[in-house]
Amino acid sequence: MRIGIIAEGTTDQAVLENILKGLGYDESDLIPIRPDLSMDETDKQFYNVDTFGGWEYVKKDCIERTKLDEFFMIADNQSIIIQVDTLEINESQSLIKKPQKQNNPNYAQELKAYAQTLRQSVIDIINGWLENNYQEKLFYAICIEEMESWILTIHTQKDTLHAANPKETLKYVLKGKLSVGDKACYKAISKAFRKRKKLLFYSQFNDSLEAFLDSFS
Amino acid sequence: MLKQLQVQNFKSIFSETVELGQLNVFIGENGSGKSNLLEALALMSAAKQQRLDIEGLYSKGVRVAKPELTFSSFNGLRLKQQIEMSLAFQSEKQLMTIKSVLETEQTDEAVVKWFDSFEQKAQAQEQEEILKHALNISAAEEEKLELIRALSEQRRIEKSALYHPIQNYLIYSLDTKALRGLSFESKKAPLGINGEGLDILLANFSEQELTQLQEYAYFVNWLDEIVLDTDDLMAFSDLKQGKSLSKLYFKDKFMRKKNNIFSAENANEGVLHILFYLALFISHKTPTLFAIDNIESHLNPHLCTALTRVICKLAKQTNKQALITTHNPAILDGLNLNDEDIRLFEIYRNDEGHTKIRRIQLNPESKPMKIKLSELWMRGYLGAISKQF
Repeated sequence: MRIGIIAEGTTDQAVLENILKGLGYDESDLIPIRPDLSMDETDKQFYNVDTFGGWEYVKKDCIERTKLDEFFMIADNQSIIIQVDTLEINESQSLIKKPQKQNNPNYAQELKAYAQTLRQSVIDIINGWLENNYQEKLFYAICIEEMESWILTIHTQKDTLHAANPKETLKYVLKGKLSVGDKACYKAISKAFRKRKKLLFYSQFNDSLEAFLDSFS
Repeated sequence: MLKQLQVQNFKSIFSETVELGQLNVFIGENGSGKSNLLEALALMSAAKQQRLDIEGLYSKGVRVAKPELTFSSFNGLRLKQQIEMSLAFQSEKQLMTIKSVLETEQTDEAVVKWFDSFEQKAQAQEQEEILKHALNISAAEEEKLELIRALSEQRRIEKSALYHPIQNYLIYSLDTKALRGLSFESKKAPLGINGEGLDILLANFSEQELTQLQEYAYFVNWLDEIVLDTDDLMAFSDLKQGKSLSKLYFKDKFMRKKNNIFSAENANEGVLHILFYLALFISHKTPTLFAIDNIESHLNPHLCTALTRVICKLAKQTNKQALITTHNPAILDGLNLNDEDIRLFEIYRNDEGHTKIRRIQLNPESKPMKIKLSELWMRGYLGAISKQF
């Protein structure tokens, strides 16, 4: 069974590849759909390659549906993972406000509820883009704030929902070893996800990662 | 027809089974193991022909390697010094299985002797059975000897019929020099593995085969006529400055009438490759089971598609079974995947580096879309592409 990946960027693809390996998939079973492999040198003149990704592109793919239709034409291609970070989509769509930390005795609880609600809201938005097609074939990798909050679980072993800015926090934690936008770097810093036991251990530090893993069971 | 091929412990193929159709196209990254699959079958062919010597293996298109590199060698796995193969042939009445277990006597010497221990054991057992049978009947010594001879001959004939397709199997990997008659590395008849002997095969075509070949003249828009100088009368007319030994000439329809013939030596690569494949599929003298490595070489994409369409049709007409590898997406556009006899496979390496084979089929529930298989391949939806760049 092959599984396609529609992700905001190649670095997100890299992390998902490691997670799926931890879930028991062989890398040969994974097919990148977005960002795609087929952009040629001529295409590159019309797109800014560095920003050729992002949730707007995921939205475009879902609304057009061509990539999904074509992918599912092949019998072995059974499911697709759709990945988005909530940071930008939440800002642009004004979905849910993040709870305030200061002087808030219920902060931890509210944060958990915020993550759950936000995840569901983004899933609903994606299904709306797709006009509810293919729902039974989809897995939703909704990274609350950013994918970096999932990677942080490996490097901090603390609840990473608390991190105000996951990318910056990860940069700080990795002491400058984070190369933003570099697929090989993201593959390396999330390598621990490739072991099932470790993946399950780290997932307890991020509800949205845990929810994603749960959707496979 | 060969329905199933099982290979264990051969090069990158640790353990794999493939269910074949009549025309089978294999796609995959470089180094995925496509040629290894074709070679596994060639190795078995050599075994059943009792030609497991280096010459015998080379003549079938096998890249001969020392045993340690011929047995699967993977990190964390103990080297097993046996290659096991099994073929299931569908005859008119039943499914017949042929097996081989290949071993070597010297694994670390420059000269290695391969042998088929399964075949050796099977032969010994057969002889024992025949002897037992003969000894158990009451007859004169001479009659018993005659019975042994008759039974042995009967077994030989039965086996020969069963082994015939696999014994003649080989891997064609065309080389333009061989097609031009400038090199003769392969002595295989009627066609060498690099394209040797095309002129002789064409010269011996029956009327029916020639008519069939002429149907496809449209492949070459400049071609007026194929000329076969069987008596080699044109050898001294300066048309073969490179000293080609081929007796194949072409007449061009656009050139001046008295100056419109040139030899295979001067013909473009495309026409030679096309002619070879057509002859291979049309001829009744060529093997019924064979492989073609990189069929697309030297051919325009549109021509690749048209050629594939034609060889699918010819394979059915002349009862040929072929295993074909390609790196050109245009080849896929000539395949009708709704036909069970026409099969497309992806060959890939799993995370352990083992070669795996997966049949690519269309989803019957998917809505029909106007998109070519070549495009689906280029987009990565069929697999069989490098993902690392």
